[in-house]
Amino acid sequence: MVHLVTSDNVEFVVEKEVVERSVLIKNMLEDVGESDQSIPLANVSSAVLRKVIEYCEHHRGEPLPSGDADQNQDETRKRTTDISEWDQKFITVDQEMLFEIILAANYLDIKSLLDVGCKTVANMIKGKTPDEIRRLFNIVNDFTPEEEAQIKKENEWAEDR
Amino acid sequence: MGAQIVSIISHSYKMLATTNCPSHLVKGVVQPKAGFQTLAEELKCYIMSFLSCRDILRCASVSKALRQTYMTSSELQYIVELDGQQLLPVPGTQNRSPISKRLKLLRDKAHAWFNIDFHSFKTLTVNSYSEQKYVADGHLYLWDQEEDLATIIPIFPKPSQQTIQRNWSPGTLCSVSNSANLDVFLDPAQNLKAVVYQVDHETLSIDLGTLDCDSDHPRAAGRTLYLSGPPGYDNNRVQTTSAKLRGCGRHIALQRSVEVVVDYGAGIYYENMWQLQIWDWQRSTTSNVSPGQKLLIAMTVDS
Repeated sequence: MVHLVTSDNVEFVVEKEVVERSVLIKNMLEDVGESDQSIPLANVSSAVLRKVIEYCEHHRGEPLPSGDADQNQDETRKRTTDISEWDQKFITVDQEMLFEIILAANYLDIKSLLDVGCKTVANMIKGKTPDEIRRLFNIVNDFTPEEEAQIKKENEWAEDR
Repeated sequence: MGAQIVSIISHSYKMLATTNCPSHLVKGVVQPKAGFQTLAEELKCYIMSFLSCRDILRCASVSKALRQTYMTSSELQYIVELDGQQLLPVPGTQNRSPISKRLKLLRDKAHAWFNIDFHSFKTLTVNSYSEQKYVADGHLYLWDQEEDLATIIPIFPKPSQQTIQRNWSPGTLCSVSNSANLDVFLDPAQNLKAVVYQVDHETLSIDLGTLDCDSDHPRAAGRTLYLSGPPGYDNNRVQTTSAKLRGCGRHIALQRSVEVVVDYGAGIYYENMWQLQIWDWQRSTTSNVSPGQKLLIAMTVDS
């Protein structure tokens, strides 16, 4: 069992097989060997870690993507933003939690979870106009009207198709 | 995006990678609210890399910061450039060269058209109706099977490159007299001329020579490359109905359609099949390159 301590100082005790879906933790455990000491995760809150562990529990035993195979799949993977049904349900959270999960997955190095999160955000962006994207993420438009008109003109070709 | 995405969020976070760091030290770290804007550049790029060209460009129109994200990402610009040129990525073949290089190639290709000086065009008169036209290493070559004529003309000569300009009159292309030539491959980069020919309507061979003076090629294993018949039909008469010859580096490939005469006792019938043979022409005059070897030969195969 592995002990993890979150940024809000909550301790989680998780099976090694589950927590090792995180490449960061896997490498850490390999480096220090078996230890009862807890691993502090300064970047992850307990609410987020709970979600991350839920994901790792569900996907336990699935093969981890290895470096080389990963690269080959990369181009084809890019073409699809499909997310499995379970993952979709799992990632149906508020926006803040969604980005927290992405940050945690990136920090903990859990590639499949990072992809689920990033694809979800991509799906939210899909088909939206710049204005709708601004509203979605609360982004201020800092272009001058002239700049905006110029960019719009430059991008016209992609809109017409 | 084979590389690992590293470096997240702001500087106030430090990765605590050792287990001997007491956990009370990390208490009370205040984290800013997570959102799209606060993501690291790499993560924004990664998210946008799942989008289509149109959606990427729309994202890049949202704010100056996102425009900057787009302008500094070769990967995103590559997706847009591909789509702009109406090209599709081929999975699994292009992973080796870095994306910035691929982007540059795409852009150079598009810009090449703007660099054409339309006033410097000259008109070339080419012999009769050559059906076979190829561009190879800055040269255009034409071959007319009916008339047995061939021409090679430099069209995009580079200063560093030797250019070759020649015309072959009937009967001079192949070193064997009275040959019927089925296909021709000219490679100015290697000064190589290869002609697949037959003399008696049955035996096919490939004649190798230099492009500039028809002499024996100094790097070739021999003057002639020899073909083998379709395996299992050693004693049958084999007639070639069509042949295609292509080369790449030290390899030459021939694809041919054949008619094999099969005698079943009470008569004969013809069996149609096609055959592919590959030679390492600098090493051997018989085709001994096994198909399992990795070859970079692009051929169009019509059966």
